[in-house]
Amino acid sequence: MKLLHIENLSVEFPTHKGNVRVLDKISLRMNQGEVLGVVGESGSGKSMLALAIMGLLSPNAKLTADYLSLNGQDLMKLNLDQRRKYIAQNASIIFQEPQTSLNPCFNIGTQLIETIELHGIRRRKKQRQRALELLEAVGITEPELRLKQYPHQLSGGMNQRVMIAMAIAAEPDLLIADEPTTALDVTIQSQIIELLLELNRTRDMGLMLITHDFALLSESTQRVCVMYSGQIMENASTDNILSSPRHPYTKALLDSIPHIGERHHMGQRLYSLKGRIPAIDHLPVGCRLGPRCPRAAKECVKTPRLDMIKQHGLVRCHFPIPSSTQVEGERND
Amino acid sequence: MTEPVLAVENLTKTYRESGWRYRNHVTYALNNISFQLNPGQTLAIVGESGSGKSSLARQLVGSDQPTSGKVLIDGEDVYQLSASERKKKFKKVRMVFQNPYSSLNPHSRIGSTLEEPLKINTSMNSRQRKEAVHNALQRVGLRSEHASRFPHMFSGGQQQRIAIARALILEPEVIVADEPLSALDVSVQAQILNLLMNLQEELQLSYVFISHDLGVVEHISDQVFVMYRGQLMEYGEVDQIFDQSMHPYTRRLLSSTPTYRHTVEYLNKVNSPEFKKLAKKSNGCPFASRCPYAEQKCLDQMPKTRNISGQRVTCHWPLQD
Repeated sequence: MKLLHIENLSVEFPTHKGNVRVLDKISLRMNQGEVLGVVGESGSGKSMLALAIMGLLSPNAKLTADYLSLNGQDLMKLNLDQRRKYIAQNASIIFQEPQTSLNPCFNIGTQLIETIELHGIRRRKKQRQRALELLEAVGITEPELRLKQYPHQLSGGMNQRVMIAMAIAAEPDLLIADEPTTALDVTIQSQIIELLLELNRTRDMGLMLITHDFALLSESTQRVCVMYSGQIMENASTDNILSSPRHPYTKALLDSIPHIGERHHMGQRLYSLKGRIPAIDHLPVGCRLGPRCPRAAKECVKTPRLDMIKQHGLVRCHFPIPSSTQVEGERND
Repeated sequence: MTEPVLAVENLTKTYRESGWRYRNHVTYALNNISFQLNPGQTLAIVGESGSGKSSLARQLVGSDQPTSGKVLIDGEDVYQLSASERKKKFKKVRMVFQNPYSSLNPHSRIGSTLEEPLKINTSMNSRQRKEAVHNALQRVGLRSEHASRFPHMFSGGQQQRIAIARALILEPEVIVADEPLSALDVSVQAQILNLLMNLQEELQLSYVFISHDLGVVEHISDQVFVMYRGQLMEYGEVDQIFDQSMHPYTRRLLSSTPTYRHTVEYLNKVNSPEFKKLAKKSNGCPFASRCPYAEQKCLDQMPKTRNISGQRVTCHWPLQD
């Protein structure tokens, strides 16, 4: 049984210019206990995908899907109230900025216990005990003291740990982390990722890690899904994506990050895509990367399909980059 | 030997906490900082938030006065000069901020934003100013018709280009860039980084580049300056810092960056809570409470900055392996 199974999920928003489709036919599968990375620039729809799965879209959004199941239950068949309850028990999400996700008016204990109470522990003493357990599980020192403190008294990393504690209160099978470390310092960043991966291992909890940092993904995920303009561009195992990206967009993203050993006095410039991500209501005809793509040709005015490439994964491109071994062969000729 | 364009000697900045109860508390935002920046070179300043990177940037561009120490531009101590002379000196050091949108005035057109420094600092007439604005825009890869638009009409990357154009317009020798990439997307980051490097080659600019992204720092910089709580931790050539860092804090930073984790070894020992408490109260090394190599001596005594084969390290036990 798949933990998460999405077929052709689309999300549309009504605007005065007509409906705007922010997610276009997303299909995704996640196994139990898998770590999936989702990458893309801002505006590519990463966060929208997370919200759609969690059922947190604003009421005017129109969600359509052929199939959307979490833990074997088809969510499209449930009514709104049932769906909300079901998702709450099976999935959790943490957001980018812990300081803004926590309520500054209440102390950590109140907020944490509110979540615990929602998940069915009624007795005051047990709630408190559970809260302490959770804080310890996420590596917070002196949990007794922290319960009485307010978010502004804790550091950013500590607040993010509290958020994670709240997220795992229901023992979810799926945890979505939407850029969990962008607001944090480098040293804290690695601690939070370690923690998430540890929870993934010890609790067999699926983890969807949404980020724009490839370096982060390289260490922690098994599969990576690259998004652009509301579509999935490439979906393959992390090793394949990093060693030989087949989609021009993935390659451009990877090449635009400075790598170890490439220092300034070599005079090297980074590769960068021209222009920027198109506005979602002014998409180019055909392939959405088209105008920015270095490999674009006539055929790219037709919309490419997300096709399976053998021994690699899914790629949405008319002219995928040949795998690195093939390229070397060509050079020898 | 070439003369450094910008140098800092024993720069210290302290802030006093407000309130009667804390009247004797003094916070050292910067403590005895010294470095030199040669023409055409890039100095990267690295550290976590709260380490005083941005305070340092403010002292360098003259938007804040240091408590003690010298800021030397072209070998002259700016705070020995008269106010008008000082203003002239600071024309050579300009700044680019982290968030381009909040650093541009939303009410004024790009043209007048760019013109303003010229009006204040030069005696150009309006035609010459227009010409200068036009040149600056071209230089950063924008078109001259963009001058009549407002900041909100541009993307983040373009806004950062405009901010760079504003810094360039007085033809400075040094640009202080405070996290110029962190508000931008990865692919746009690469564009801006390339632009900065091209400009450096064309105009022989020097950069003080503040960043927390070690990948970018390694790519762009010639020298690296690692700070923690206002103190110099380690300072050396980029090769020295990345290949043979001697300070535990630098190693800590490197080992927590995913790409470097396998190349740098860092002891992951956590100090006992008692030790941490002692360390917080002590006058010793500020990093002691988090340092796995810390010993009693680190609590008792602030380490001196030593010079080990051209690399400066503030540590009692510099790591050499």
